[in-house]
Amino acid sequence: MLSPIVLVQIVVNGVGLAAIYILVALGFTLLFGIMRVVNFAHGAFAMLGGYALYYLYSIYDVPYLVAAPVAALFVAAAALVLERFVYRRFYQKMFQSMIALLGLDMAIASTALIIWDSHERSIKPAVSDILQLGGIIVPADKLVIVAVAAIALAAFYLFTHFTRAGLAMRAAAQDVETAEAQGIDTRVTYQLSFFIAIFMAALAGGFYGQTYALSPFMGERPLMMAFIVVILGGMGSIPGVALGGLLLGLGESFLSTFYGSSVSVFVSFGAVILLLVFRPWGLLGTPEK
Amino acid sequence: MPLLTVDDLHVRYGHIQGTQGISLAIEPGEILALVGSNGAGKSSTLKAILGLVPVAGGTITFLGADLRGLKASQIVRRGIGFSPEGRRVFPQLSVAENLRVGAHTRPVAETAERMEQIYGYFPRLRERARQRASSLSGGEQQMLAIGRALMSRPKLFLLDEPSLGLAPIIVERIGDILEDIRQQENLAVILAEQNAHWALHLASRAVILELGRTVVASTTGELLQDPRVTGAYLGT
Repeated sequence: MLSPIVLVQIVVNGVGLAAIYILVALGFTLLFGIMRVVNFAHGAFAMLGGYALYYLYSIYDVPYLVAAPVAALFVAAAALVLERFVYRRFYQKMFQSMIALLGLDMAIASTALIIWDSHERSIKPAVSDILQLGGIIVPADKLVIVAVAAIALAAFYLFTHFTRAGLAMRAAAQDVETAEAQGIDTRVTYQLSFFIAIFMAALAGGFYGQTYALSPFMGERPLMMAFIVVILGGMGSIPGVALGGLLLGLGESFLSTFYGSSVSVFVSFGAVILLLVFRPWGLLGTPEK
Repeated sequence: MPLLTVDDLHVRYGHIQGTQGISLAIEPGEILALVGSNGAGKSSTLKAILGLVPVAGGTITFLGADLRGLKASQIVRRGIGFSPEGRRVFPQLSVAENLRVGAHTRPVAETAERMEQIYGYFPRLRERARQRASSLSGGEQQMLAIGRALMSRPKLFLLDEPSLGLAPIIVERIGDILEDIRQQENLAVILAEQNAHWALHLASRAVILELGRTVVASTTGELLQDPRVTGAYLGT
């Protein structure tokens, strides 16, 4: 039953999941809030991040704390080519972007299938120690993931609140035309936001691949979760993502421990349906006028 | 030489005509009123000057250089500020952050000093510096939109419909502050307004627009006597 020991483990697992969901969903909502693109290929970048980490860390033995950010940086830098030739054409075109990026998602996943075939691989844990604190057992690996994710999220917060480029991003997210009229070069802001969004997705993809397994289609679930988080929190709302991610991560950890994972998925989607019926703008979003 | 000259400006949105032949000129330190009813082409003219809508025909010359084809971010850097219709403050940002966005094109080192000057013109903004812009009243939001545009130290300020939805007493106060800033900074202002009475008293010259064309351009002294203007726009 619910002893303090079990409770702590549920919370640690939940926070680990929440960290991954928040990273994926933050980029997803950033792309929507600023460029109005619905990035159905977001999960594909998470998948690529997983493979990048696999090569750097599992195959080439680069130290984990270097490999995790470098793998994500590599994916984000390579994705800038897609920004130039695909994404840029669909900025501020929400409906066209959905179809185009759904296609891009299939293209990336199928390419990955050709290169890496369909069998699952695993990324070795960051640290294999088990922490034991007064009867509570926690895999240290989970804590490393939470710590790296927390650093990434803190860096994102500091960037958006204490730099000029970050302020420009927040302004553009609220009103692109007016931001432009204040002298902000939106092309630069778009590119930067894209880079940050893909970096976070790829970083989360590494963690996700480590927690579960790597496969060319592993991006589907993080994408789905990003959707739920963003709808829970409110489309385009950054605090909403943090709240939605925590609710979903902790909820999933709790429900799947006691009732199994199918119940947890059922409840997550059920909550989204209820929310869409009664509060379609999300917990922290603002209603459209 | 005028600061800005617009000659035979045509703006088109798809098949819809925004303006079809607007001409105007403004000198440094002058307030020019752009008067006309809804759809006369006031906003389209301002947006075309700032590069927010493409120019289909005509010329726009600022400080001797052609502005056509430049991006808004480049035009702001050349010294033109813009406060859009409906104020459009960034609702989730604080008052101080809104002002900082306005300083985007200026060196970071001078932001604090300029912000002090703006707070000097609009003491209410200083009191509310840390509040979210969405919590301000309509008049305060208009002051913020003006202050934000002035953060870039423009030579020319494009001000679209500042009186919209504001109480007459607030409109008068904004007019007084605007006049004060004009004198202190030798600022040129193009004021697009439906409230012709207020605009014609604040400006020294005015351009009357109808259906996307310039119909009269003269000093406000003369226009206030012109029966075509008093009949159609001042309701006397």
